Amino acid sequence: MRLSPPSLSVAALAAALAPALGATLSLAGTVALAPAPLMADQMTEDAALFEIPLTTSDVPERWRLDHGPLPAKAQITLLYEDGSAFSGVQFFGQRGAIPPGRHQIIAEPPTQPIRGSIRVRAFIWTPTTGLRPATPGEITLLEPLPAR
Amino acid sequence: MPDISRRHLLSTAAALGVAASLPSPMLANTQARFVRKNAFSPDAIPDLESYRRAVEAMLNLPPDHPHNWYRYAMIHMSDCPHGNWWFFAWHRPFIGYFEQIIREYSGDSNFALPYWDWSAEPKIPPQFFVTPSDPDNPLDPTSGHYYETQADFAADFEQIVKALYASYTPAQKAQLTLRGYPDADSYWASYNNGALEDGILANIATNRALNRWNTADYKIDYQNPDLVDLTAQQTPWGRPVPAKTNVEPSKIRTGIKAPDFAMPASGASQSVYFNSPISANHHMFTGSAEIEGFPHNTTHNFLGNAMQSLMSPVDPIFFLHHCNVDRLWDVWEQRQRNLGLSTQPLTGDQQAFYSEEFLFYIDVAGQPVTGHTTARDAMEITPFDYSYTPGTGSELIGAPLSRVVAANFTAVEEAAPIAAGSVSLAKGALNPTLTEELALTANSLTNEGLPNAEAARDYLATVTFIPPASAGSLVYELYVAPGNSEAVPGNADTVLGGTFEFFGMRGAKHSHHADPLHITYNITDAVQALNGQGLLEKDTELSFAMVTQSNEVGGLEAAAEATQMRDGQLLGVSVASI
Repeated sequence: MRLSPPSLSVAALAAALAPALGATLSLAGTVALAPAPLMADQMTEDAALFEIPLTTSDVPERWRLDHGPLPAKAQITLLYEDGSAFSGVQFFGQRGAIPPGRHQIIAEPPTQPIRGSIRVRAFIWTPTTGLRPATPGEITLLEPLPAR
Repeated sequence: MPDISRRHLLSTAAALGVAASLPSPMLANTQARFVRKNAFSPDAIPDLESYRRAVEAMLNLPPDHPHNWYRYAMIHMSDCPHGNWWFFAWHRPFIGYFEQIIREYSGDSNFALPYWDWSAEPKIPPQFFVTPSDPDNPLDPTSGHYYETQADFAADFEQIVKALYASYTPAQKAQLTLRGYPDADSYWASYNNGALEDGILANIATNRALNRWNTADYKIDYQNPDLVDLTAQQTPWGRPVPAKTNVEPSKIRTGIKAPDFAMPASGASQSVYFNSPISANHHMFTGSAEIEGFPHNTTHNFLGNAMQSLMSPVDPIFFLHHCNVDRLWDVWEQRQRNLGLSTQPLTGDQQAFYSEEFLFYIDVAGQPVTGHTTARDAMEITPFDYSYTPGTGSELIGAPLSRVVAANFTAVEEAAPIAAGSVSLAKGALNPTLTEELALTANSLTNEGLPNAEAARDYLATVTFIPPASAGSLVYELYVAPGNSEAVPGNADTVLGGTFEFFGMRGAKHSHHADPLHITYNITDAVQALNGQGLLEKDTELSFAMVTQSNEVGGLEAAAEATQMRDGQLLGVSVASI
């Protein structure tokens, strides 16, 4: 039987992430604003949350992401605070633990209007943990890059 | 004339990011013998039929034959770079030699490897599936042509692989040691607490039915060939795979519109880059740029066990996948050349990049490739003599700058000194007509105020000139004004577009007969400044003035050069937007 093409729907993703999001949101509290680029280790309460001030209502398409050491077979998922997809990093060809790296990534447009800043949550997926919030030192930089 | 200090000029140049463009030795192969076609094009059907014959023949070769299908995949396992700046370069010869081998085994001397343009056709081509009427299709890695279990594979290959390792040269073994395979045992298989963890065997599916995704929730087959955004529930590993999203044409275009070669692996950088980050050797991971990280990685990970592993060339779709990756690199290179931008690493990085050696390629005779094994060699298309039919992203190639705008250089005249210690040696007015794209964007900017993310573009002006006798001692300023007035430094409607200086040419003398140089200035800030003054409208022309000054402030040399500059010749200005 042919399966109907699924989509990366907010509802499906939110359902999949419900435990992780619940835990994360309860820990988030208030987060101090900081100018972009925002270093994760500058965040005082939540290493998985990035808040980036924007000067326009548009979310820049291209971003730079730096990460620290990650577990073997890890993947990075970035979500807007409403649970919709922001971006992510899929690794290929890496054996064992993943060393620190730098990536140019492309952001999906937000599903909610942007006012002044965006809040992006970083998650790490591994086969053993499933999806979990990033911990200190895992995502170290998220900054917008100029349009080209 | 205004008092423009050298300090001001140099600081402006740094802020604007002036780029120099020198002729590339790797020109596009516009008359290639072999044309790689879109796999979904009717024109590619004969190539796909030849491909099928050759793949079956290579699957049937004995394990000790260098062209055995699994043996060729081992080259990838042994040496492929991923997550660093050699990613594109290494794969070009890997599929180039493969294409020659396919010609041999298919008997089709005209064979050209088709490419899978996943952005235009986000589904596996139908020729790559077993079907009820074609249950033995060798292009489907779940067919009976492939090893059913790891044990079956081990029975045929363990001793072959260990003997192969023993036969490697010291240089090859050094590469494998860097990669984490210091001996034949680790190369073949390594275990962690009894679990198979690494080595060639670990990259073979436990069952060939799993070579393409095949779970209770999702299965890829001839009835379900599409790249889709899998939900977390549909993958056995519990996370979504945005395969269709990550191959969208917009993603491809973003990746191609990166003006520089490879990003620094750390530290601040203001540009964006086509290649993944710089690394010390091609076995290191340092990150990824868009084309490798999004469509390339996602497509690998979507398709199943074979394509997810370093033995991914076991799935015949691998070569069409990487053919498209190579096509996108070719698109980027052509676009860069047409914009007058470099296709090479920065000068200071070139030695490190070019000298890296790739030692595991096998040629059509089954022999290790020698004498053509550096990354510098790997960048060349010429030895493989191919070109591509247009696909997604090709629209960004554009036309060579010389065809974008007809530059009508109208005058060269001597100008008066403009500041103590510096001399204005020559200037001329150039009035190229804005391209339609530039005009429309300028109009959009005028009407809508500050550019939004989509409207924002970079504007590049490439000046073609024969340098004066003392080229190395001069600062070359480019001024921009609306076309309805002459560009005159100091006028309210004239903006400094950028400055350029040679490096390492102090005292160098050029003759009249030297080849023209092309210097590309990023005039984005100047265009936006004029637009901010309401001076740009649709169909506006731009005027340019090039003014040279001595960079020897107050030096006697400046006076001498004042006469020599007249030996130089300005030939034209072309404008493009990216």
